[in-house]
Amino acid sequence: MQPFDSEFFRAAILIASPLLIVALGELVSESAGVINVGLEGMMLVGAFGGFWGAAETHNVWAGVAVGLLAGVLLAVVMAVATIEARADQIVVGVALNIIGAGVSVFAFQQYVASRPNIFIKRMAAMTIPGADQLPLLGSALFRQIPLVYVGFALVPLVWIAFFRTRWGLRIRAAGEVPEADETAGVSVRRLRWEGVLIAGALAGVGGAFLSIGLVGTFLAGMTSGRGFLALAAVIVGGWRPLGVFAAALLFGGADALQLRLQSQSFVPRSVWIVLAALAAVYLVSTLVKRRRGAGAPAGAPRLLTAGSVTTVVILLGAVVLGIRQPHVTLPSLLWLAFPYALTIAVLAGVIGRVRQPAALGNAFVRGGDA
Amino acid sequence: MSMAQTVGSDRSPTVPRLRLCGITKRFPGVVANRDVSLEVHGGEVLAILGENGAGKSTLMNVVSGMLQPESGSIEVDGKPVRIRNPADARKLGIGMVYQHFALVPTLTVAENLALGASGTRIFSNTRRIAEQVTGLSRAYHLEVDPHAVVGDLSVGTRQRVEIVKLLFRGAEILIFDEPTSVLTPVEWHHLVRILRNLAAEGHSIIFITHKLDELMQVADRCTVLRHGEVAGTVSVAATDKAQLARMTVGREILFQVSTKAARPGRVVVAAEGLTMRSDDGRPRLDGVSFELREGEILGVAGVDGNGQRELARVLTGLDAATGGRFRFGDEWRTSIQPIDFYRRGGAYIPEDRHHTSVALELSVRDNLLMKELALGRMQRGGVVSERAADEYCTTLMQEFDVRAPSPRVRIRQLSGGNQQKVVLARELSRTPQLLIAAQPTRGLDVGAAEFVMRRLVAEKERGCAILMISTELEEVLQLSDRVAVMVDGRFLAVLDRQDATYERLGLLLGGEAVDDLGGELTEVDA
Repeated sequence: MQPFDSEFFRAAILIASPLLIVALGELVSESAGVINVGLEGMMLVGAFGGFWGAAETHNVWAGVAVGLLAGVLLAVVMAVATIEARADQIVVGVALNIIGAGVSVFAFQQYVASRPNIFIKRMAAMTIPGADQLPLLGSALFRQIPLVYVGFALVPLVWIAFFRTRWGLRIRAAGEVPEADETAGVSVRRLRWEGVLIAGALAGVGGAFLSIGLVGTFLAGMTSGRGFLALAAVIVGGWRPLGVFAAALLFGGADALQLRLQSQSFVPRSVWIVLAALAAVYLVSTLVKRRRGAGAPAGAPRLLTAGSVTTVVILLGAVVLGIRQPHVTLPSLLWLAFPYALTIAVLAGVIGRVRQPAALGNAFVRGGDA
Repeated sequence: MSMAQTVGSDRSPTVPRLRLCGITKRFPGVVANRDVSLEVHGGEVLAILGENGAGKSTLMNVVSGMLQPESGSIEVDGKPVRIRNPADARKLGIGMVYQHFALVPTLTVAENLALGASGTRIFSNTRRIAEQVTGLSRAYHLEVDPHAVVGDLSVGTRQRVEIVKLLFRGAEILIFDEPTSVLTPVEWHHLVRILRNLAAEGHSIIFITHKLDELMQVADRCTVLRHGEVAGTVSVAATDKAQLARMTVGREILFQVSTKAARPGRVVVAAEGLTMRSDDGRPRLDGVSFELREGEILGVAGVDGNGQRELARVLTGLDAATGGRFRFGDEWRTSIQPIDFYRRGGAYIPEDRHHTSVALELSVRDNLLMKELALGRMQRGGVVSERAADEYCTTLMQEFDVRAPSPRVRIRQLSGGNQQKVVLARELSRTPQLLIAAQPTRGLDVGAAEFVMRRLVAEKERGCAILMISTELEEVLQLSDRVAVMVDGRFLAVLDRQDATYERLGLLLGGEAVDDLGGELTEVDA
């Protein structure tokens, strides 16, 4: 069912993985109460760091390590400014994006000028023999570069850390009611440092993923908004590890899809069928949820909400388009915008339903401002 | 592990459990505590009484390690100690229940305790903790379910969770910071019993309050703070409310604000089945009907969060009702623009002084002028008339006894009482027909509260219709001509003054809980 073939799924997961790694780091930081808008900048220095490390040592893993350290370096700036100096988290994050973009390009130019003809080998795929022969998802899940497996391993790791360890409880408390930690004799400052540094490290790895794993070189601005997508993935995922995982897969799928559709002369019928199916699933799930939530007395569930009407329109539109199958083509630049447009649409639908950590973005002062 | 064993029995009874000597704590521009000394023994409930801003909370933050004093020393069991952070306080067995609880609402009771558990375990053992919670809860009659999510619990229960938390951490000196502002009368009686229980087991209790009635019921001794200094320490059995009030404010206080019976005139505001649902569909206001006439005060009694805020917001135009209607003037409506509310002679004292009533960073003058400017006064061609404005502010500040060095100082620098006087001055200067006063004396010291209450009565006698929303039953009973009891967004009853007694209101407010505690309540009263 072209374009939803095994190659599509392989690409979707490959693209989703750096997003997943970065978003999981951000999830830890935000759960601790620090929103890090500077992911894009951290990814960029990570991407250059990864390139530099791999080029110097001829070892991709050394490159990943350098990328990680580069991300941590920017995270230290973030932590000092927001936790120690209590600067506004958003402002610092924005500044880090600008710094990251500038520093990475500058360093790259200097480096290439001194070492022309420098190149790195892309990280090689690791195949799990046998399993990769499975139909449809085989190559997507079992013939990928090792960093993809790292991303997938991080999901249960973060989940267990969050919900089964004392550290996870403390991190979540630091973002909800920091006083609960502080009065228990647990340092909120330290927890937030940990959160910010983890976010920086994983953003660095995510950046190195792009230069070492995906492209095989460094390009100016090569993150092209993935840091912001990761930020959105945390929100769409409702600040839960599995939710973030699903959101990253959604965005990865959207990106893989637009890459395929760019090269098509028209949008194939299967795309419209998938769109209609997604709309139908969404509609049914919200209706079921409403029905269940209608226990409140005299609370007649409203069926004609903006969301449900839009979904019905999309559903009908997709069915019609699927039957008529018009020759829709778009300039490739518009296709490129597709994952971002989808992000905005999903965010609009999600916001107001999910609850962010109550103390997110607030500086913590011991003893309050008495 | 036997939970209810008497704590500290091996210690000498003559040495105080906790002693503070000459504690001084400064903040930029203010001395919060000056040379404060006090002591509390095992098995004793010590109340710390003082007006807002007298330095009670600062002092307790010093004891719990949140703040560091400039000078002075602290002794626990006769040994000098340094409390550099909350972890130190915890090791010394000092724990504090904060006014706004330090609990994570998204976690369960057991998880909230687990995050503070000591030791080096990586994985949290919530099951074992849950068992301990059940044990402690039983030993001290705290009735806490370890598996409940904190966000689903009532305020009274959350307070008991805090107590369990401290006991779980081995606290023997328990500090309660204004614990009653959020409790129903029944919950308060329950708390008194718990505190006496804890003291009987040998714990030391420090109870911070500005309410005289409460401390008379629960405390053994009382240390009074005034302007950051100790005004005296007395045995509760050997004192009375009048003496304590004198010590707190430094002058005589009259507890009775005289108010004449109402001579109600025409109906100023009326509501029929007023309903408001929040976004999640739950009713916040659920069919509220009433009439309010000229020259009467309708008191709305209720525990916080039962729809009082929504009622005030709908009537003043900050929110729209989703059902029912109301009338202010001749026209029935479901919503009103705030500016229309003021134009028709409405005035509003919001409950939340710092967020809704005043703009903290603006000057006293700007805060006084806000509504005048909105109504198009004190200006010419859109430019503020400086002379008229200054004159207006000076007159008001005199009339309302606002103590500020100049109208140009930021209102943040004023005490709570003076801030509230500014609000009162702003609202009453327009001689309103309708005043909606939400928690008008919340957080004020006795002197300022008395001033506010006198002004409300004066307005009523002038002919103003007043809707007074308050969680303080005493205040409602003292001022109201009629009392509405608000529970779950509804007026459960509207009583005439002579029918409204403290006991009756208490029963109406906490109806269900009374049955559970029936036998135990008498124990407290005895």
